[in-house]
Amino acid sequence: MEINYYNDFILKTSNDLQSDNEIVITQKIIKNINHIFSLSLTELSTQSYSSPATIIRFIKRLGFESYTDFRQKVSSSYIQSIPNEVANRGKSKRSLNILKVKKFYEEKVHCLESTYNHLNISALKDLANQLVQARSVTLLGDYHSLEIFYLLSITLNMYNIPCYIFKQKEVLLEHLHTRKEGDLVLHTLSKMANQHPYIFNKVAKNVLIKVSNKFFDYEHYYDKVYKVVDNEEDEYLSLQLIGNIIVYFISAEILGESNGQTKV
Amino acid sequence: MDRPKYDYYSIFLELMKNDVKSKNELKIIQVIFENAETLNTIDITTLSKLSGCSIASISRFVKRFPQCTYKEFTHYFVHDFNKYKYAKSTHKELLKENKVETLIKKEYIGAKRNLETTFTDLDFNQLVEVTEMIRTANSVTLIGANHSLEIFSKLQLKLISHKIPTYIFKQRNSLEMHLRTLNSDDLVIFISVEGRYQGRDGDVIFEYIKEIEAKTVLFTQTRRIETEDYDKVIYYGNDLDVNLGYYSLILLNDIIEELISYKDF
Repeated sequence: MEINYYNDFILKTSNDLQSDNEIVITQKIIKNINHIFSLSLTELSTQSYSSPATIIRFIKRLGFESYTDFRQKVSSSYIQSIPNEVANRGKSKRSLNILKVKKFYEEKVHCLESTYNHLNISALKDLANQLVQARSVTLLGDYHSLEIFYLLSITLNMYNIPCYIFKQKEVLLEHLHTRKEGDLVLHTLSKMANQHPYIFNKVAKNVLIKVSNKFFDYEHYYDKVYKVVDNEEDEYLSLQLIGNIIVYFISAEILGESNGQTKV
Repeated sequence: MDRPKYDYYSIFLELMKNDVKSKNELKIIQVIFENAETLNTIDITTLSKLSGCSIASISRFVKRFPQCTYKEFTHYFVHDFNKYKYAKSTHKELLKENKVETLIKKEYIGAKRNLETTFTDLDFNQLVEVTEMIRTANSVTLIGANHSLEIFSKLQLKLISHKIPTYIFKQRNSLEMHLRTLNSDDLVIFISVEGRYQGRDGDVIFEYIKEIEAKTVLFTQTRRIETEDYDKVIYYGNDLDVNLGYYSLILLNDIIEELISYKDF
């Protein structure tokens, strides 16, 4: 699957900047993004008060081969994201009336209903069981999924099961090298992210949680795949509900379920 | 002397998530995290042995936390870690009285109610005015909890594609440095459940933004706030369901994205 380098650049720099120079370089790139293809390294260097060597180090850290590689890739994926303003010419904001807003609202409600009505309860219970038995849990996924699962991680920590979230790729890779038998790695894949799961630690248990019907090319790499809901709509809205639901299953696994029969 | 007001466990989690500076820091973090409950019984020499890092490395790591020595850090950390355990008794009570299926249903109904309140209470004209402020700003900076910012990162991409420089910096140092480059032509959007940026040193950051006279917009669930602090305020969700506001932020993000696409000629 083709990577959207523009999206990738923006999301990475929101989460992982390592120096004052990197902040200023990022500011200048965002300011000049609409003509990044013609922005030379020297110009960017002058504007950001950073040496060309500093810029190249930063660009390479983000996964690009060179400055030329960076501006070509980011520029071409940025161009694809530029909106077709002609399509909306003549339509004023006021014409996006309350009916359109209502449509957005109804779509979200429908997505919640669909998620709730298609929950795979046995998969959710089984997943919670795996999580509470682990020595430690490491969460892997896109930034938004990781934020949704933050409550889940706090809950596991509360029950003395260390649950790690690392958004910096190098740190995550280093951490995964240290995982042993008994540790669990929970992957949450966005339906848009069918990339090779380069981050497998074969000693730890690797499980995948899915909220869509989409088949990922690398599903066979996982020890277990949990398809927790059958839904093709707003993935993050579904995942938000799922994330909060798993928390209840985790507590039920540890504290015992309902009717006053608590184990602890 | 009173302990500093910071939540050291929270700062630790944020640092682990977004801002680990070296392999040594990672080793220290792993050992601290796996001994969270008893960290106050582990002295710096033992932590040094367990992590394989020098005492100097551990001291440098502790310096990243405000106003504390190693001993104070471990004490505050365990205290704040234990504060989060209150949820355990809440869950215990809930599970005594309800089946898990009932709790799931309550979560689902609460999420729907939150969306419904956002839709029925939305001041559409106010939102249109906010999108005009966004469109005419020299730059837009989004500030809030990481989860809210993650939801609005879609809007960030959309605004940049409309040639509106839009920034999200989740690391505290990056945000502080970025804010120093802003002026009165820039717009700062706060997304805050409680009506003000709650991050570390949130008040200082807020006062600084007022001082440079940048324009400000607040997205909040709380109706009981001093709204005159902001140029515009947009309410979403409701006061009672503060933990369910993320559903509504996804809806709001989509509406604003659409509004930005409509240009008045």
